[in-house]
Amino acid sequence: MIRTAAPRTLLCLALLAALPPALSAGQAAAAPDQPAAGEYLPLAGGDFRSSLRLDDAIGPRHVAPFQLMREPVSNRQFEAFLAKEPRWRRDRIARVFADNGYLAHWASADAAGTDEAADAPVRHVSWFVADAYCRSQGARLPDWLEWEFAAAADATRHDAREDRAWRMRLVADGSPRAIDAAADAPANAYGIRNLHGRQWEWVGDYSTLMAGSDKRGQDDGDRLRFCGATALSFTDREDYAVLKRVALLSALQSNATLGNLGFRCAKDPP
Amino acid sequence: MKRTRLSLLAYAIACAAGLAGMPAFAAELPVIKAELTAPPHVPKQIERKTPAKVVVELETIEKDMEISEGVTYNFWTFGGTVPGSFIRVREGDTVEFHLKNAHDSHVPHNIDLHAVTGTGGGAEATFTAPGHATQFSFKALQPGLYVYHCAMPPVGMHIANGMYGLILVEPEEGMAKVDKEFYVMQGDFYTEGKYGEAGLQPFSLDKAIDEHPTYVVFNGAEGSLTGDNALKAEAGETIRMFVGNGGPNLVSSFHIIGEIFDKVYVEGGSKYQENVQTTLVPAGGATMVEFKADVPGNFVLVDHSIFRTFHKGSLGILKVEGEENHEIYTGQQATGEFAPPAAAAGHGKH
Repeated sequence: MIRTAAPRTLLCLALLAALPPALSAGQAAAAPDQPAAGEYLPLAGGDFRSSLRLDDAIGPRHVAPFQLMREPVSNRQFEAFLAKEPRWRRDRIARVFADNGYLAHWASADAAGTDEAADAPVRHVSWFVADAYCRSQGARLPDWLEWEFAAAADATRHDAREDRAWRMRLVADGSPRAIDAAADAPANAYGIRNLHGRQWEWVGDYSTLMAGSDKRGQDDGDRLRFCGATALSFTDREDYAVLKRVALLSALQSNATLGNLGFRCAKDPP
Repeated sequence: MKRTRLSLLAYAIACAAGLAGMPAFAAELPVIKAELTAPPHVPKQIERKTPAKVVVELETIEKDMEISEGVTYNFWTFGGTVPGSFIRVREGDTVEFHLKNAHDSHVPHNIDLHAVTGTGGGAEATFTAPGHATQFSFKALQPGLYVYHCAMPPVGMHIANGMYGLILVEPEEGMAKVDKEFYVMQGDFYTEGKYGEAGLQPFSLDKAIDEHPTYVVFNGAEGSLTGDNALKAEAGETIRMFVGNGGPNLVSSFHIIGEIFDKVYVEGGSKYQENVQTTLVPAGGATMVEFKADVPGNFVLVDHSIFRTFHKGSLGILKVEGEENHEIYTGQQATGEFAPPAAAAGHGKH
């Protein structure tokens, strides 16, 4: 459970060694006509004020048109993916791509079983696996900015973030008390569901979310990790829902899996 | 393609960066597993005269608990209690700290121990995702009573949800023996519902930012130190209380009604003040108070910012039993009317 220095070195070396195969595997996996594919909805994009201040940029950033899955990837969809690409099964995957928790709650290596609802979002999946899944669909993980753009909407407004009461309720994101955790939670104004659910979601560029570019190991430190300096890179320091989400994602390595972390895919317009 | 490469590289760099900070502590020290206690209990006094390597294993747990009768709150805890487990080490010890974050936590946690000399007080080294564990070591350089707390963003919310506790570093020469030791820590809580509103109450960020707590309590809940939970002692016993304040916002004017502190180790440090009525415990700070329970009775622990006591919950009881000592305190000796003002002539006149 604890990584000491030596195994950690080995892990890193193993990962570096695995880099080229991972990339070629990604290429080989591109297969746009996945039968169990989720439904994608179009978002027009536009100028958008991110809650994160990236690269010292001030003012709105441009979001290009994109498509996003209506729901997070489900257990059923993920079973179909594993049937097609069995090398990602928990009993065949290399540990550098997913930790020991990867799908460990499933009844078997290829099926979620009866304890886990087939339509429920898949969880205990690593970034590498989520990335591979989306590639297999001819898609990709959404960028943070795309995810944030879609998640700014409530049921009636494309950008509901000025509604403080609504935003405060997002503080429960990632927990059973999240607003979209309710069975009857409506889709948002784009028709997208469950962005503020009991599970967090991977984004493609999660590893760059730390206060601008990846500051790990540099002299100005991980601003997010220290008491008293946490709000520096946030345009709104009261946006605790975003703060919590970024804190969670930035705690993770790309092979990490969590019981309340899933994903959905995005793609460019045709 | 490009996305994958970027992330893999970032991962590799992060791995490499993680190698730099591995400690190189001497291995000859005897290894001791720390005794951790839930409030109001305190681990037994340290008898050792030499340093040791003390292994501390603490788990962060998010759980619903009662904050007041009929009112529950989703607390985030160190060790399943608010305040978290009490940690006791000796000056000069090397502490090997293991932090686990429960599998069903919904956010990462870490720990900043004010007893640590080093970056973030350990926060950087213990950035722990749910279902994961981290480890770091530090040397307890300076004696004192220190607060520890979670420093994960949003820091205020983690502390407001109960993520704090105390770590005592005993001085090399040890501490005077006392008959009873207790662990009491104040905290302020912010719920959407009003004081006493039943059911599971969500955290109110607005009230927290405005510093308008719904509850101000000792040991995580109204009633945690009253009734069957009251602290108990015998008349004539010497008592030491380790009193912390997790905040996140308020400072505490700690007072025990009917007692005078013989000694107050101000701000948990090495110097003491004598004969103190009320002592200030800062948010993120602590103090040690010592006194002898001379006579029996119910002695009331309060934050003497007194509306908090009667309207927000900061009330505890120390129940002292034993022989009365009328030389010190008689109890009521007489009651009755006293003579009215002379003649009723003064009505309406000055």
